[in-house]
Amino acid sequence: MVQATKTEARKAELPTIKNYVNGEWVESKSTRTLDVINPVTTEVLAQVPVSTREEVEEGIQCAVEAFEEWRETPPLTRARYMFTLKNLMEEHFEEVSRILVHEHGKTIDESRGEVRRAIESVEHAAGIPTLMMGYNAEMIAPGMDEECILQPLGVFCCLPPSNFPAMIPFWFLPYAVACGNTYIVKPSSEVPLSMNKMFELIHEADFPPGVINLVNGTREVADVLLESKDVKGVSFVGSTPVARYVYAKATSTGKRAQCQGGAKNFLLVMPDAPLDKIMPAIMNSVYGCAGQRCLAGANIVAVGDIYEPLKQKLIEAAKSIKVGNGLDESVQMGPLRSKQAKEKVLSYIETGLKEGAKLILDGRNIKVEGFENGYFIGPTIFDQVDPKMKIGSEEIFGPVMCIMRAKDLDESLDMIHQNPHGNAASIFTQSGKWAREFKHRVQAGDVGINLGIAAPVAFFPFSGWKDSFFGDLHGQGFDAINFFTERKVVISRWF
Amino acid sequence: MELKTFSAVLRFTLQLEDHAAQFYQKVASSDKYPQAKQIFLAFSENSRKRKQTLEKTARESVDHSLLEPISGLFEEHYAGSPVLSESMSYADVLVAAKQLEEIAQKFYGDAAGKISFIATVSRLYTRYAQERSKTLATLQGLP
Repeated sequence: MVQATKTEARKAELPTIKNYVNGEWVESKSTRTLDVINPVTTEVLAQVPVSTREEVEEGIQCAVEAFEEWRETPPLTRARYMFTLKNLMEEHFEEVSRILVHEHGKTIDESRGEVRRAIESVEHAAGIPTLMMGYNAEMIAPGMDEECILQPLGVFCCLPPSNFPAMIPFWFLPYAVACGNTYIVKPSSEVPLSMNKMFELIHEADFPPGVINLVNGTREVADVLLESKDVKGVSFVGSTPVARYVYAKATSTGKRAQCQGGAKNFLLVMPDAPLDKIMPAIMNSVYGCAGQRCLAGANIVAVGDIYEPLKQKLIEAAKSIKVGNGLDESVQMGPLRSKQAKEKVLSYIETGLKEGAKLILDGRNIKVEGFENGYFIGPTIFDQVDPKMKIGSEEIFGPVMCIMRAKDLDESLDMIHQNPHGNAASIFTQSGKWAREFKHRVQAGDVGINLGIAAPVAFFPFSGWKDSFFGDLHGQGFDAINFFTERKVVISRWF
Repeated sequence: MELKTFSAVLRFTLQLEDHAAQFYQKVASSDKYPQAKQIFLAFSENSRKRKQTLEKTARESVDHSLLEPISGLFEEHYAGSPVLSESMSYADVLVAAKQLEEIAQKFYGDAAGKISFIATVSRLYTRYAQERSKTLATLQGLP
């Protein structure tokens, strides 16, 4: 009882995240809150409310009302808001990066790299006056001209995951808003702090009330957004089962939907690959962000006789990775995002052992001095993995590498194509012929040649395939402009 | 200590530039060494500018997808940057300044190769290695 009272008292001292609706910070009336936990220290950083249905509906209504005026705002003026926001993000770059380390656990380098990508999207969207241009043709018939114009649709929303809480909403938000739509973000309830900070910057940038809104909560909040007839489209990033669910639910109410799912990415190492040069890229791909990236390399395919030297180099490089608190600049890998995430990865390692894969580097018992309760798992490597095993075919989302063998490029491509996912794939080779063949034939949306992480920059679409994406138009690039606009064709004749 | 991450390399670089800026500033503002006041002031200003440019360029170029682990770059290999003391003669100051430039030049040259995955910053390091080499040449030419 005393313990319970103490816990209650401690919780009462913690900040509770607010919603941001109609240009104002609003405290949720909900009595339900969730803890936001630092995965390094396991300290509770804040409380996040599970907003009520009424609060979400109010957010939607405000966005609907703001749309009429915002769509009438000239694109150049909308672009100026983006410039202002960009400058504010630059000014608070370090602050947001540090919040990210606290809430997610990734390293400070990774956090800065994430914030940079968020800014990049805002910079790109600032080009909206030209990005949103339509096209026309004179004289489609005698005396008649035809033009195609791009117009915004209304309210869009975003349901981002927990692995890139500052960056992923910005794959969508700047484009949606720059195109003249209004927007609602529902951050992951595990990591709402960086987006909360971003909304402070959005507030400072002085967007008109209702243009960009924030509602916190869990799946129930997402469902209200998905069910609303006033929401015209949704952008989702997360696991494949949830992406499939969101896509089905969103499209059943006639919404546009772009839903990015999970991944199981293959990195092929061809016999001619320069091992010393490619090792750092493979390490970043597999162990960067503790493997919690949808572009993370998971399956390393040793092609031909490179298997033995490759395996030795991988073990050596993985062993040297320093694991710890991401705020320490010497640390190269942080913890898993949550206790549940850690348990899931541990369970996959158990499964791998049962399936007969050989555990040649075991990160399960890692001890990080000063942070013994943190959700750490060290770099882990399984050898002799069959692509049909669970650990070889399912997304582990943790620092676990699976080594496989293939006799040639054809067999490697077969392995990739048998997997239901198609988010990313890379080849490491010095042969232009192999690289070109790989690029042409591989069934994946984001392809790397001598790169571990094929992350498209803001002006290219993030192109997952197969079970890694549900929808037609991807996030970022021209796909984003097309997703957030409707086409109108006008044919005119004058007497 | 091994500099194993991009931010660790950057932090060490900024410390080197800070140290150089302060060293040259102190020499320039001391009445003991009127011989090359302007030149030392300029060196101090160059270090401040390099620091500013490095901070901005690193912030604008860092990308989570490009980061790679770094190995083989140790702080202690670039230790021994001299500190100005009251007892130093002008000749001692010149020796110390040359030592400071040699260390910085070597560090920039070595580090450029280690951070090639962030190419914009790596190129800046190569440029700064050349700049420090020119500063060294200027110091060697001073009477």
